[in-house]
Amino acid sequence: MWSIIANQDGGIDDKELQYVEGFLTQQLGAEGAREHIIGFKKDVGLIEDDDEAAAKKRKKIDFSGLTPVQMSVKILGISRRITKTINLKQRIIVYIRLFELVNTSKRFTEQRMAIIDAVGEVFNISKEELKDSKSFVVNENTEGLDIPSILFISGKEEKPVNAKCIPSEGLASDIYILRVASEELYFLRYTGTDDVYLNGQAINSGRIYLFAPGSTLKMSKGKPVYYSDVVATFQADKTFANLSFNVENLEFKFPNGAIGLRNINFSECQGRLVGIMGASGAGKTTLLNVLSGITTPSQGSVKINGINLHTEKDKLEGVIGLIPQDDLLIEELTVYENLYFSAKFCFKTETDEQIRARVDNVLKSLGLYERKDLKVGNSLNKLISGGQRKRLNIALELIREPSILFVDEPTSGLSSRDSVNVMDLLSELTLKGKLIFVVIHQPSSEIYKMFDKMIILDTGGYLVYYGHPVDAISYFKRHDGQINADEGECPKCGNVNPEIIFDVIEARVVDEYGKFQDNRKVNPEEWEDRFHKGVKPEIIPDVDTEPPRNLNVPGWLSQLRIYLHRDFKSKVSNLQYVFLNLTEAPLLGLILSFLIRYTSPNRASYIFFENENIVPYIFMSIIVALFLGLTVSAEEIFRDRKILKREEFLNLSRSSYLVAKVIILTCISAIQAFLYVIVGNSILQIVGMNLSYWLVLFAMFVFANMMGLNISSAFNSAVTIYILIPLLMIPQMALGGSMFSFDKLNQIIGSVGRVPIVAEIMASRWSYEALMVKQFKDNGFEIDYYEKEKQKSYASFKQVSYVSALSDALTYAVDCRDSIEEEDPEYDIERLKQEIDYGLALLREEVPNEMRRVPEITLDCLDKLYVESFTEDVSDEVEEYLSELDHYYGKLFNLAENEIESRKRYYEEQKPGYYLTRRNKYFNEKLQDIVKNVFEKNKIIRYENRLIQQQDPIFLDADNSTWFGFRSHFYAPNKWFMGRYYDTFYFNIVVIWLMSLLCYVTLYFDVLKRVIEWAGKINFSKLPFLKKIIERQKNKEIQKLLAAEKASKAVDSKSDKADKAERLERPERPERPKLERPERPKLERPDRPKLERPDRGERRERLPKIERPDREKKEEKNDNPQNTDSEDSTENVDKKE
Amino acid sequence: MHKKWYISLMLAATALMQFNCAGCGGDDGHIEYHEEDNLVSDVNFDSQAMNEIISSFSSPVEMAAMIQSSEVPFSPKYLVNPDVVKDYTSSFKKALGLGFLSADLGYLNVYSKTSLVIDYLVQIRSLSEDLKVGQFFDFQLLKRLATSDDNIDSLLIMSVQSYQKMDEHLRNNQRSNLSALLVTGVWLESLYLITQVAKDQYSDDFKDRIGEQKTILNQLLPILKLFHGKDFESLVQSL
Amino acid sequence: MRRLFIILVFAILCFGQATTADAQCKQQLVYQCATQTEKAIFLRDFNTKLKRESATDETGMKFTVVLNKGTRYRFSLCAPDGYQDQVVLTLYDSGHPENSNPLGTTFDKAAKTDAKSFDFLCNKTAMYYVSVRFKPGMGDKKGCAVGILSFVGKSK
Repeated sequence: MWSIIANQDGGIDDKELQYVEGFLTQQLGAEGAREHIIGFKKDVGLIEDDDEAAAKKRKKIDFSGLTPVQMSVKILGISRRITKTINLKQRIIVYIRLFELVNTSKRFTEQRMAIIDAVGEVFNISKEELKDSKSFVVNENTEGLDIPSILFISGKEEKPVNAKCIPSEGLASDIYILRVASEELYFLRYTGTDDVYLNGQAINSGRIYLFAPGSTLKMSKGKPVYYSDVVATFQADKTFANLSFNVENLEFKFPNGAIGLRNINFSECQGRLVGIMGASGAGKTTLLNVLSGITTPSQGSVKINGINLHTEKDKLEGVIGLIPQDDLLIEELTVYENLYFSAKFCFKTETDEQIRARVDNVLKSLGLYERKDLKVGNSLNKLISGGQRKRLNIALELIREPSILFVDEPTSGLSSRDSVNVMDLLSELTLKGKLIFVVIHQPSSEIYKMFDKMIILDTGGYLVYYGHPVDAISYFKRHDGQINADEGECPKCGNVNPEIIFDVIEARVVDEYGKFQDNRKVNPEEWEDRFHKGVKPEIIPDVDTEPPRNLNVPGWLSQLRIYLHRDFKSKVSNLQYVFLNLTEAPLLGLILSFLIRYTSPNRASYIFFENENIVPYIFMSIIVALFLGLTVSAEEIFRDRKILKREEFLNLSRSSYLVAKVIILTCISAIQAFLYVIVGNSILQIVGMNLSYWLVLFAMFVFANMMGLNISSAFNSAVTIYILIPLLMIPQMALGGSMFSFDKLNQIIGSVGRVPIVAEIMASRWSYEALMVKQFKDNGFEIDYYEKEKQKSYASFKQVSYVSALSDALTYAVDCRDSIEEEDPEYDIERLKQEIDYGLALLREEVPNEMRRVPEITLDCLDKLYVESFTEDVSDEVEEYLSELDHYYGKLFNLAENEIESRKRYYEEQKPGYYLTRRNKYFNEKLQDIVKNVFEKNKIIRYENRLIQQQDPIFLDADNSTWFGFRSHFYAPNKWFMGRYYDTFYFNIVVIWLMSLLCYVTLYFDVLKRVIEWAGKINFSKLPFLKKIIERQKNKEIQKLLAAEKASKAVDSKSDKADKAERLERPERPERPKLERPERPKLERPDRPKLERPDRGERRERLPKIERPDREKKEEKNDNPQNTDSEDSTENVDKKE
Repeated sequence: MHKKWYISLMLAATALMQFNCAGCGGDDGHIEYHEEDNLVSDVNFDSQAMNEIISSFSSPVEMAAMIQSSEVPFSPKYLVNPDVVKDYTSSFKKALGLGFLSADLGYLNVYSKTSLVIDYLVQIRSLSEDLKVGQFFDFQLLKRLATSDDNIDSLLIMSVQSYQKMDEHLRNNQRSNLSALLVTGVWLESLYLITQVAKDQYSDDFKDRIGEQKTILNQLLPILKLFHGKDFESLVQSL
Repeated sequence: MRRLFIILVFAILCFGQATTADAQCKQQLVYQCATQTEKAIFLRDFNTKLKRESATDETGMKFTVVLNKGTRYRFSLCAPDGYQDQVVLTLYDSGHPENSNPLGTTFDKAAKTDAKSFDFLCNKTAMYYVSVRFKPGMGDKKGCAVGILSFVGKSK
C-alpha cells in the first residue's frame, strides 16, 4: 500500500523512506526488516528489480503502463483482498499508517488522497472515522484537533471546546489521543519536545503510536495517565449511572474464630475492572463473598451508593451479580435453555423474541452459539467442554448485566484464547459503566494489563497492594530492591510478568549455606504496613443517587410459569427419568396384583369374593404411594440448591418456586396413581372403585411428595436424605391400622374406643380407613344392603350385647344386695356396697344415653339407682325397662332383616343367581371380616362407666358427644365434625390434603432446616459436665509439656555442672528445683529465634495493632503458655508438642 | 409445545372419566329395588301354641342316638358336606342349613367322631353369625373341646345346648319362622339319616320309626303353612 | 377397681351372651346336671325360673316334648344349694294328668321321697308335657331348677 501511494506524484522522498525503514526496523528488528526494506525499495523503483520471479512473488504491481482508471481498479482489488484478510481493527491501523506515511513529507497530493480515500471506503471504515482520522493525522494546530473524538492531555489553562481533556501539570505541549469508537482503538500523537514515556519508552514526536489497553503515559512532571483514565474520560459524558463502592475497615472472622480478612479499605466507582489476586488461602474468595453480600463481615462496612450492603440488602436488589467458581448449571437443559430461562427471570417487560435475541447475542459473544443445543450434562457425563461450561456460567450472569459484578476465577480451565475472550467481554462491560471485580489466578500478561486496578491480598487476608496493576510490579520490585524497578513492563514487547509480585511477596529467607528456609523475608503484616505507609488510596465520596438496577423481575404468576416451563423441560429431557417414573407405578401394581391374585383350589376361576389378599393389597398400595411419592421428590430441592444460591441475587419469590415444584410433582403423582390403579385393580378385578382408589392414592402421593420436599430442602447431602426415608416410612406402616390393630398396642399410646393419637397423625391411617370403608360400604353389591344391615347390626348389638351387659350389671347388683340382706358372714358389707354401686354406676351412666336414643321407653326411677335406694321394686322396674328395650330392639332387628330378605327374594325372582354372582363380583369376604371385627372376642367392653361397642365398627356411627371432636373408632362409616356427619371417605381425603398443606407451610418457612441448624449450634463443650472433662484434659497436657521441657533442659545444660554437683550433694533439698523452674523458661526463650514459629495468622489471637513493635510481641507470645485457662494456650501448647 | 400439554391433559381427563364409580353404571346388570316391591313379609306369629309345638321337636342327637344304640356302624356318607351352606344366601336357607348341620353334628358327637367335627363347627358358626344368633355358639370353646380327646361328653352337651338356646332365642324374638325352619332342618336331616341307614341295614324298628315321622310331619306342616312367602310355600309343597 | 373391671368383663363373656334378664339357673349348674346322667345321652334341658308361691301364678314352667315309641328316656332334676328338696319334675300327658296320675315324677308323694331322676319307657310316639315347679308349700323365695332329658337306650 505504501509503495503504491509513494509511487504517486513523483515517487517517494527521503522522509518517507526513512519513515518506512524506521517502522519496519522497529517492528521486525534489523534482521527481519532488511528483506522487506529491499523489497519496498524495489517496488518504489529505488533499486533495480531484476528478479522477475521474486517480483511476482511480491506481487509487484507495475503501474507504469496503466491508465488512471485501470490503476484505481487494481488498487480497489488489492484493498478488497486486504479487507478479507484482516479485521476492522487492523484495517484502521493500516489506514492510519497510510496517512502517517504521507504525513512525513506532508505531500498531500490529490492522487494520494484519492487513493487513501478509496482505500478507506473499501476498508469499510465509517465516513466519520475517516474524517476524524484524517484530522488527527494531518492537523497541526489545536483548532483542527478540537473534535469530540480526540482527547488532549494538556498542561495549558485553556481547555479545548469539543475535545476531551485530561489536565497534566507542567506539560508544555499537548498530547493528542484519537479514539476510534467502533473498535475502541486509541492512537497517540505528541508534537512536543518534553520527555514523555509510553510504557517506559520515550515517544518520538511526529509519530503516531497505538495506545493499547493497559498502557501508561508517564510525563516528567505530573501524574501518569493510564489507559483507563483515557477511556473513562471519553465515557464521562455518556449517561452512565454513577456508582460508588466504598469498603471501610472490613474484617471477617470465620465461625471458628480465625480471621479471614483484616482491615480492608478501598473505593471504586463505575466503569472499572478491578482484579483481586493473592496466593492460595489469602482470602480472595472470602473477600468476594463479603463484597457481594453473601457473607457478613464481623466488622466494617461495604457501602454501595451510601447504602450498606449487609444491613439494607433489599434496597440493593438487582444491583449485584456473582459468577461463582463452580458452574451452577441445570444439567438436563441445553446451553440455550439454561440461558433462556435465566433471562426470562430478569426481564419482565421484554417479549419472548426480545429475550431470545438477547440470548443469541450473548451466546455469540461468548462463542457458544454453535453449541447452543447441546445438553449441559454434569462433570461425569460431559456433553460440552469444561471451558464452554465456564463460559456458559459467565453468560448466565452477563445476560442481565448487573451494575456490579463479582467474578470468581473466570479464566481457570480455559485456553488462553478463551480467557482473553472472556476478559474482553468483561472489559467491554466496564465500558458500559459496570463495576466488575474479578478474582484472577495467574493471569497472562495481556489479561493482567486489562485491569484498571488490582487488589493484592496476602495470606491471612491482609491487603498488601491496591492500585494500578503495572505499577504494582514496580512497587514490589522497588521494595525488593530490584534494579530495574521502574520497568513495570517489558519495554520491547510490553509483556508484564505478574508472577514477580508473588515472588517478591513470598520470598523466603536464605540461610548461610544458600538454602531456602521455610520462613519468609517479609510477613504479611509488614507488607500491609508498608503499603499503608506508602500509598494513600483515593476515597470516592458516596454517591447520593440510587444505584442502577438492571433487573426487572417478573411477577409471581410469570415466575411460576417460567419455573414450570423450566422444570418440565429439564425433566422431560432426561428420558431415563421419564421412563422410569411412568413405568414404576404400573409395574409395581402389576407385580403386586399378579402375585396376590389368589384363586381357591376348588374353584374354576378367580373370584373376587374369595381373594383373601385384597386387604393387604389395599394397604400395600398405600405404602407404594408413600414410597414412590417420597423417592420422586426427595432430591428435588436438593438438586437445585446450587441454582437457588445463584438465584439469590435475583430475589425471586420462593413461593413461586415451591408452587411450581409442587405442581409438577402433583401432575406426576396423578399420572402414577392413575396407572397404578388401572393396572392393579383390573388384575384383581376390583370393579367400579377405580376413581375412589385413585382419589385416595393420589392424595397419599401428594402427601409423600410434600414430605419429600421438606427433607429435600433441609439437608445438605443426598445420603442423609435417603437415610431418613425409612424413618418416615416405618411409623406410617406400623400405625396405618393394618399391620397392628389399634386395640392391641402398648397401653400407653392406646385409646379406648378411638384411634390412638399417634396414629391420627399418620396419613396412612386416614387413607387406609378411607379405602376400607369405601370398598366395603359402596361396592356394587353391598350398596344395596348397607343401610339395612347397619340397622340390623345396631339392633342386634343392642339386644344381644348391650342390654345383656346392662342386665348383668343389674343382676350383679341384685346379688350383692341379696347377700347383704342374708347377712352372709363371708362377705364384707362395705365391700358389697361398693360392688352394688359399681354395678349401678354403669346403669346410671348408660340408661340416660339410651333414653335419649330411644325416648319411647323410659325408666322413671333413674334417680333411685344408688345403694341406699336400691330396693327390690327399683330392681324390678329396671328389669322391666331392660326387657322392654330388648323387645324394642328385637322388633327393629326383625324389621331390618325382613326388608333385607324381601330384597333378596325379589332379586332371586327377577334373576336367579343374581345375589351370588353380584356378591362374588363386588364383595370381599375377608374385608368384611376385618371391618366387622369378626375375630374380636369382646363384642362389648366396659370402660369406666361406659359401654364401648367393639363389634361391627363399620356399622357404628362415629361418636357425636362433642361438637368439635372428630376422633372416633377405626373403620367408622362417617365422621362427626362441627355438628354434622360426613362420609368417612371424603372426610379422610380432606384430612390428608390438609396434612399436605401443612407440609407445604413447613416447607415454605423451612422449619425442618431451622430445627436442624439450631440443633447443630448447641456447643457441646459448654455443657457443664463436659466442660470439666475438657479442662482436666487440658491440664494434663500442660503438665506433660512442662515435664518434657524440664527433661530437655537437663540434657542440654552441659555448663550446669555446678548445679549438678549441687544437686548430687544435697539431694534432700527439694525446694531448689522448685525455685529453678519458674526462672528457667524465661531465660531460655530468648535463645530461640523468633523465626522458628511460622506465622499462622488465623490460629492466633491478634492483639490490637497499635502495640505491635517486635519485641513486645515476642514476650507476649512467650507469656501465653503460662496461662492455662484460655483456649489459645492449648493451641500454643499443641504447636510446641 | 403448549398444545401438546393441553392435548395430553385432555386425554388424561377423558381416561379418568372412564373410571367406573361404584354402581353408577346401570349397565352392569344392577337391578333396581323399590320398597313398594316389598312383598308382605313373613308374618311372625307369636302364638304360644305354635311355639310350644316347635319347641317340642326332637333334639338333633336323638335320631343319631337311636341309630347308634341299634349298633349301626358310623358312616360319613350319610352326612351333608358342610361347605354347601356357603352358598346359602337368604336367612330362610340359612336356617334350614343350620338345622341340617346341627343334626349332622349330633350324629358325629354321638359316634364320638370329634376329628370330623371342625368343619361343621366352622360352618355352623358362620350361619349362626349371619342369623345373628352367633352369641350362643362359642366356637372357640367347642373347637377346644373337639380337639382334646377327653371331653367328648362336654362337646355333645355344649353343642346341643347351643342349638337349644339359638332356637329359643329365635322364638323369643318374634323370629319363629326361622325357629320353625331350624327345627324343620333338624327333622329333615334326621329323617334322611334314618332312611339311609334303613337302606343299608333294614330292620323293623327302623321301618316303624320312619313311619312315625308322618305323625310329626302332620304337626309340622300346619305351622309352616302359617308363614307366608314363596319359600315356605314351596317347602310345604315338597314336604 | 381394675380387678372388678376384669371380673365384670369375664362375667359378661361367660354369661352375657346367654341370658335375657331373667334368673334362670346358671350355666354351670345346667352343665353339671347334664353330666350326671350316667351314660345316658343328653337330649335337652328344661331350665326353669321359679317364682314365689302365690295364689294366681304358677311357680314353675311347663314344657312340651315329643317322645318316640320304643325308647327309654331318663328325666333328671337338679337345683342349686338350698333348693334341693323344694322342687319337683313331673312327666304327664293329656291322658295322665299331672297332679293325680303322672307318667313319672321325682317326688313320691306317698313315700315322701325325692329322687334325682326317673326313667320312662315310651310306647307311643306323641307329645308329652314336663313340668318343673316348687313343691306345694315350699315356694317362699324365688329361684331356679334344671330338668334334663336324656336317652338311655332302645327297649327290646
